[in-house]
Amino acid sequence: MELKVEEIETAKVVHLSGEIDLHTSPDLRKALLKMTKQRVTPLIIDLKGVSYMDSSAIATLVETLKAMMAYKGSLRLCNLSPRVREIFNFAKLDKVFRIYDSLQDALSC
Amino acid sequence: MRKPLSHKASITISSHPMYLGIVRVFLEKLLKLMDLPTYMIEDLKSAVDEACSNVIKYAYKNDYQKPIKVTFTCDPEKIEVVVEDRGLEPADKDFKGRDLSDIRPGGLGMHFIKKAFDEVKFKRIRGVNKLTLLRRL
Repeated sequence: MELKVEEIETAKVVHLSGEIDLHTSPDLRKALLKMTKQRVTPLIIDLKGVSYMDSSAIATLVETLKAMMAYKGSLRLCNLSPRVREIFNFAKLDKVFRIYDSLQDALSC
Repeated sequence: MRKPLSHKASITISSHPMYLGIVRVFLEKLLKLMDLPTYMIEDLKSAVDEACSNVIKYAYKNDYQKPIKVTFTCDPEKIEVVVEDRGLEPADKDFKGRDLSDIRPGGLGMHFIKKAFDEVKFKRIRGVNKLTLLRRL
């Protein structure tokens, strides 16, 4: 997994790529927890390059969402591959997360 | 060259999460030999990945130096994957995922397993946990 952070306008954007599984999700969790402790908002997670995501990756995103809800932060996900989107739908998370087709859409909402 | 109608292969990894990707590649290569649709390959790969992750987390309590054996068998009618470990016996609750409408971290792995496979059977024999996953084709 690769993780790159960029600031675009007022948003912090986390670009993820590669496979997120039990091996790599702790690094993602650490990075996202650091941001939620800093009360970052809006936080956009760009999943464009993510080829695989397991339940530990989903758990990390749910944990981040819950942490951000506590300070009324805005978490947005974008560029989900059809497979990752299917996982979100199956886990009934498509109604819980704010999901956008593109980074531009996520930035401009 | 004509492809065989059945396949059998196994892989043994150490229980370090870094090897999960190797199990996924192993499965993907075998499943592609069977000309299965991509969605089914992805579902099956995810399910076995989750089963191995559960072994690392619950049976071995994150001890990364224990063996996990994955045996893959298939014929035109079914796919069977057996995941074996020598860790702690799982509790009944470990075979139940959380209610999907109860949005919280964790508890999804078993749902992925049950989505991909028609039968999920567990046995513990002489200190070996044996999870047998069956998908009818």
